[in-house]
Amino acid sequence: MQRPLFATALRGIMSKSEERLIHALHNEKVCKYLDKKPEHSDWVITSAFYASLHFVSYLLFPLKVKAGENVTEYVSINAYYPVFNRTSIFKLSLHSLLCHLLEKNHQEIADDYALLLDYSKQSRYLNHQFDREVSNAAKRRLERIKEYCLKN
Amino acid sequence: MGIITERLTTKAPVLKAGKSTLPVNWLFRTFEPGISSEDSINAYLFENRYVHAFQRTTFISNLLTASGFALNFLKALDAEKGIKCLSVFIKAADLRSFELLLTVDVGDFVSEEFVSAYKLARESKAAVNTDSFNLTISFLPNSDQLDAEALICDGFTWHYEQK
Repeated sequence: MQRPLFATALRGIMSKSEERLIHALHNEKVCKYLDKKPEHSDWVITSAFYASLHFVSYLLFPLKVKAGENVTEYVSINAYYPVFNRTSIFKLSLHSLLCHLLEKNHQEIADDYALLLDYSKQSRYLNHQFDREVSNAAKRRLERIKEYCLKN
Repeated sequence: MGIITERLTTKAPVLKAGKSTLPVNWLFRTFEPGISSEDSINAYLFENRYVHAFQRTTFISNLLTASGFALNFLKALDAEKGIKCLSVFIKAADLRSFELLLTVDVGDFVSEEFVSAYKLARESKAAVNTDSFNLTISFLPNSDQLDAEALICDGFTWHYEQK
């Protein structure tokens, strides 16, 4: 499918960082839209998590990593992920790597993010049946993560 | 095919590393009839049939560390945060990496204070993780809808239920 002309033009002038922020805000908007009906709780949680994923990526990247005397800047998690897994003893998933980076650099929201990841990840084990109170809790976590990421 | 459960007891210790065995009340679950936890470990380790015996010892020793850590973590969670964990699932991601999945009451799971359980998990795993052992901890709300098949399918074959 062809990308709309305006969006393509925007992509040309936006930085990776701005793109992430726009993606985060877009997912947050979807989350609020889905939240209008209680039967969409699982997708409210999923969209809250994916909004927060882009907020924390906006916060963390570009990431400067020191290796010996050299400092390398990685523009995105996609750029850093293969390097991390090649140089680390343990292989992490993309989601676990983001959690790891938050634990290392932004402990203030690391636990909220890990919780939101669990809300989203465990949906599979609950046959996608989530109470409204879980999706409300997810929205509160997203709000806190967003506030922190935009302030820092 | 239904789920087959093997109860591990001290009378029938199926896992040995030195003198240790998995604690009583851990269950091994599978879809395959006639497969014991011992068979599963062999299958897991001997995909490469020339695997060194050292790897077997390493795996079992790490599994014991993970299960021992899980039980201590349950106690700490209750004592320090007042959060009762109802059961634990363990997944072996590889010889040295294990995932713990703990079920808690949904009221605890959604409460604002539950973030403190993640803080305790972060601190506890930092104390046990080394260059040769890696543990991750996740939580799941307890529910009638808990899909045991999906858990086993994803590799959470070791199960402990709080008595």
